[in-house]
Amino acid sequence: MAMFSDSPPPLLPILDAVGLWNESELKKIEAARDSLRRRFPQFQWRICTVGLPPDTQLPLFGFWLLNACPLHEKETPDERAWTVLLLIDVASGKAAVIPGYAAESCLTDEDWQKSLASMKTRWESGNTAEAVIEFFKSSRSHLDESWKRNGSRRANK
Amino acid sequence: MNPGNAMARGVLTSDLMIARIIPVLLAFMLGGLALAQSPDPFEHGSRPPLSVFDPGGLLDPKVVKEISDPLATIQKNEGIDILVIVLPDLANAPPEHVARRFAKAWCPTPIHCVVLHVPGRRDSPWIVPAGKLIEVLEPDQVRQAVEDGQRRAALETKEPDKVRAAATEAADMLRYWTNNVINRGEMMRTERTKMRVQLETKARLWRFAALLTAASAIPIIAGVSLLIFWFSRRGPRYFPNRAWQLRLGAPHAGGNHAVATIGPPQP
Repeated sequence: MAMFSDSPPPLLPILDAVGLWNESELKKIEAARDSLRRRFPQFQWRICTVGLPPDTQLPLFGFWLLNACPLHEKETPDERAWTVLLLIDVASGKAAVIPGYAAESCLTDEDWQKSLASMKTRWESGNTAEAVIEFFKSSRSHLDESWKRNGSRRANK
Repeated sequence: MNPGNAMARGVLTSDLMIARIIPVLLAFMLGGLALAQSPDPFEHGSRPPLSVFDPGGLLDPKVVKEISDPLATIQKNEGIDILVIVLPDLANAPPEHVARRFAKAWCPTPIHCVVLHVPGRRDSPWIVPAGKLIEVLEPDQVRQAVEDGQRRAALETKEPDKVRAAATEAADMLRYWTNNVINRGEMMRTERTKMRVQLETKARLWRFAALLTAASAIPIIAGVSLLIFWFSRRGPRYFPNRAWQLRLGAPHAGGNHAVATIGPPQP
């Protein structure tokens, strides 16, 4: 947990550290996230934009972030396990998905990579908020497919 | 004599006797049957051509014709048979009995009436209606009408007028009753038709309502099904909670390799 020297910030739902989005864009992203959350209530979505130094391994940074960030006031360990962190490194032009232990069984790395790839067109055209919304849409599609195989209509206790 | 021959002759004699007796017996039996089946002949024979029967010639033939002609017309046009009987004497027989005997013998139609008159008797004439029509009427109503008619006819002073009045009363009475029954029948038929039409209309309305209900239920059911389907599609979806093991001492996530380039690096 001590792989990065800084003390991690609280893992807010949207942590736009590089200031990519204005208020309006943030609202759109939140709306897309809330819609996806209504569909799959177990998942906790976190979005974090960073500008990391070169040669920083983005998945590793995300792994550290998700584990090192303290649970905030109302967050439970179970919710953290169902958290999916979308980490965007503006500096490298890369994005990574880091799912918690509970969430990782729902989609494979390939599925997540496809969802990340869906962001590319919008991101390259400068619509970064739209790119995140596209990520949510693609994730929803993959989760729907996965749910058809082994999901249910009721929450498992 | 040979006893065999004597026996043979005896048998022959008895056979002949039986053969003679049988036809006689048959004749008696057939005669008896015929007598039993044929009714007693009516002492006045068959019905005369006129509607007034006056064997004693108590009425003037002109009067007889005057009374008879309208009655014949009524019978021809309306099927109401009024028979006027004028007798010198009833020989202590009850007038109604006499009248009914005439009716039975001479009036085969379902609507008929016998007007019996004995000149000189204060309680004459008598009006005796009979037939199928009378059977369907209230007896009290018939009795009252007959008594009124008889009373009015008896008020006449001359014998021919009494007969004429009684015949007119009888004809009016029967015509009124006939028309009444016909009207009542028609009214009942009309009412029945009206009721049938009402029932059919009601049944048609019920059928229409049932069809309408069924027709409207189909889209409603389809709509509700679609809504249920739509809501079920939109409802929340859950994944099973699977057990996991901590990796690399990390409390919340084990790390993965889901990374992609989404854009060019920025300085």
